Amino acid sequence: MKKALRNVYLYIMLLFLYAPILVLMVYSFNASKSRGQWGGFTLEWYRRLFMDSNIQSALYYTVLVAILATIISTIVGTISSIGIFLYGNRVQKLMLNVNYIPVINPDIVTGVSMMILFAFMSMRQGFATMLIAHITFCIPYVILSVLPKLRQMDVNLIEAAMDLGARPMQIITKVVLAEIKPGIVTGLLFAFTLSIDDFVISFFTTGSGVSNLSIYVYSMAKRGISPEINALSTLMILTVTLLLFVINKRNNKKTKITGERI
Amino acid sequence: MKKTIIEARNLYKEFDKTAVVKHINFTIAENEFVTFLGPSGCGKTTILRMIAGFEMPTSGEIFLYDKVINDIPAYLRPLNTVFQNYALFPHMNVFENIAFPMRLKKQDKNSIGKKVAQLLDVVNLGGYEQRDVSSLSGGQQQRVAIARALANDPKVLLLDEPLSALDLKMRKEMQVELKKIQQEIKKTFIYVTHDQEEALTLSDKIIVLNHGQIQQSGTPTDIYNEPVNTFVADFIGESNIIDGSMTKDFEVEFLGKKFICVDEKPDQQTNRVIVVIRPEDIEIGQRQEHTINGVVTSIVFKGVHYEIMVQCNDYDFMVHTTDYHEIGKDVGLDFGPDDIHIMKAG
Amino acid sequence: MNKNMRVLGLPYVAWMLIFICLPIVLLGVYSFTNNTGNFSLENFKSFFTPIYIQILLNSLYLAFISTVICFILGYPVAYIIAKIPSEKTRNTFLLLFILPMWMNFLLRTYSWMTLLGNNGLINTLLQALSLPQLNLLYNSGAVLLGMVYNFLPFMIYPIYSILIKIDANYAIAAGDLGANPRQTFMKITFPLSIPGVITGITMVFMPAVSTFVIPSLLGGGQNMLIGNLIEQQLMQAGNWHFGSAASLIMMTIILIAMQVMNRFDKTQQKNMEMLA
Repeated sequence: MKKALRNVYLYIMLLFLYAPILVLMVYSFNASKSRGQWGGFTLEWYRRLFMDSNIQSALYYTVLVAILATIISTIVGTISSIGIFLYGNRVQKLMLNVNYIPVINPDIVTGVSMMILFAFMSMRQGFATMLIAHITFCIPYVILSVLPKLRQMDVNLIEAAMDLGARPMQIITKVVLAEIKPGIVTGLLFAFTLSIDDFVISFFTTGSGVSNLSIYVYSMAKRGISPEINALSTLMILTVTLLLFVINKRNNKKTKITGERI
Repeated sequence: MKKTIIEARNLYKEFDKTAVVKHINFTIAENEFVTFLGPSGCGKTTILRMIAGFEMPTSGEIFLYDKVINDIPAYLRPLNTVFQNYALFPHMNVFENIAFPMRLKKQDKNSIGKKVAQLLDVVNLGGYEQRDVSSLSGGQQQRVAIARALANDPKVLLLDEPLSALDLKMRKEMQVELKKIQQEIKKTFIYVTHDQEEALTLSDKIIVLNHGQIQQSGTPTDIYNEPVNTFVADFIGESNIIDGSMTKDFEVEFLGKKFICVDEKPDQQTNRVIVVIRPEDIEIGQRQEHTINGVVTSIVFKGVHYEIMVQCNDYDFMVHTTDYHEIGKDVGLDFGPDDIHIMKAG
Repeated sequence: MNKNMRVLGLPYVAWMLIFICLPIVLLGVYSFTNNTGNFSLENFKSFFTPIYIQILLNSLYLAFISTVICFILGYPVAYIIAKIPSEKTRNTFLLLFILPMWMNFLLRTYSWMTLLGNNGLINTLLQALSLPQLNLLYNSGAVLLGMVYNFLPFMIYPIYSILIKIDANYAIAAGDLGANPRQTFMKITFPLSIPGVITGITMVFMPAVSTFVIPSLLGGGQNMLIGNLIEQQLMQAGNWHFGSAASLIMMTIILIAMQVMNRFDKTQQKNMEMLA
């Protein structure tokens, strides 16, 4: 009895979490434009979505920024992690505290302060500024994924490589990178998911007609709901779910990380 | 006289202003099996790491033959290390681990393959080339680590407590194996351990360390039979250490009895001396005129012998004997002149 | 790899200085200057007037209430999942509860509009049952609902992570010593899970205080929170100095709250260490 009650509670909470999303998805196939009524199944909204040049452009920027930000932040983050790792305790702690700022700062503060920075540097807001902002908030997550792997690494492995004749650079390329690879991949996936999902920071750091999907959805949603947005949302949710499914498959094989993000 | 391969002169190392190795000197000859022996924190691993090149001496020199190697980085030193935890690269299989140093030197594939097979033969792991290192037992990993360290044909092999992670039985087996390998490949082995039994079994020469200073160096027999101070006596094997006094050479008095000994009076300033007697050198039997008398307080069977504690007034003797003496029995202890070791009172 | 390779960290140090530290410094500079660029406290003076204080208090209040509700709803979820014996079932449930964390936060907020709107699903159903329609959207209740909905997984996950790590032997030992299940929970399990609760509270409260999307979409402009104020000052009113001051005040409050939480967490951890 008690067990049944517990299960009921879990399912009610799951219903609470998923019902709105499911309703949204169902409505994206609703032929009736007035949302209450079910007017039959249609793919009309999806068709319109793919015709919409604004959405095409938003999709283009979303993906482009995500890919560039992921590549750059993964490379910079990994190299920086090695540098940070080699510093003594006090310097390392200081560097990590600064690195932590974008993680704990509310997105709105990060966004606003970068907006002010770009104005200060007389940079016209647009694609470049949005990319810089994304790189800035992605690198910390890469470092937070890679650094623990460096710390877990047996220092004797580095000494063994050195002992067997590896020069400092060879130690990194032949031993260290192989050892921290899981951390690098985790960081990369983190960066990609964060970038593709970001709204608040992009909202403050973009400009001159460059918007990503989240910004587009926001500007539409502020005017009320529309079936196209339902369709777009459905596609975005399915994409992220698929991505997570892949990540999880991978993690199940290795260490389990479920990631905390705010 | 064998040729010296490694020499330390006035070697000194401190960490955060704490001296760990205090101005020590030693020489190691070619093809010798030398062990640095001492309790944890005595500086033995630091010495090994300085020879390997992982630590820089604060002052003093390390010579390889007649060349100072202080400034040569580890990756250019013709010395290789076997690590305590083996430090095998987990992302490589057995073959790749052993081939690693040769690949760095860009040797050709055929000779790498041949060399790996040959090394695996030396360590008795023929046919294990493609095995994942994590699938190997501790002893097997140990062998791979040795093979890998030998792949560059080092002049000296450095071994940092290589057997400490193994269980007792495996450890005994590997001791024999190590000695065999060393004799087979005819290389200098520098070995670090805190296990005195291991040191006595394996070494040609033992250097006993404590608090960063060399206490004694010599052959295992010398060190065991003629410890120069109470630390060595106590650390290597078990010892009864008693205060005594000497008024003249070759006669010592302790616990109220006089005994003949083979040592001269060590210090002319004072009569006080320290007497060291190994438990297995004590004769235990009937009380007699000249014996030190006591009562058996405990007896424990140790496999080959009994370990008996005998309380004699204010000193508890540890005695190793094959004879049984029940608790509470009155016994007398006797010592031959050779069994009494005299040391200067600290 | 040696100490010389520390230089690998230097490019990022430069990046951090320019893109992490400098923006914060500029935010401070903007807060303490006026439009003419002179030092001034006028931004703070005008912030501490009843109308903005009200906005701040309202933000803190809604964030606080949503944190409490998330805790009340989330703790049992974490507890029940952690107690599922089969690892596979447990992981499946956990995944289902934290999956929404990864879905676009904007879309999750938006999804409630389709439910709560005037001709959304709920009102359509009410209509079909000939019941009076309700004004569900564009009020504080909707904002609160949006916060709870969005941030609930952030409460569940850290609590679960701690609960699953607590050695089951503690509870068994407590039972052995005569504690009933209720006492075991109150005296053993719950106190040991407090670090997770604190992480959960931080992870819910912080984004709840700073959000502007939820009030903007579900509150419909009437319910202005501090996030909206900042957004409005920078994006619409063009008063960056005042907006910066508001950001700085919000950041300070959050930092203080985190410090308090951390301290609480540390004493708690000490207790844990003594227990362990």
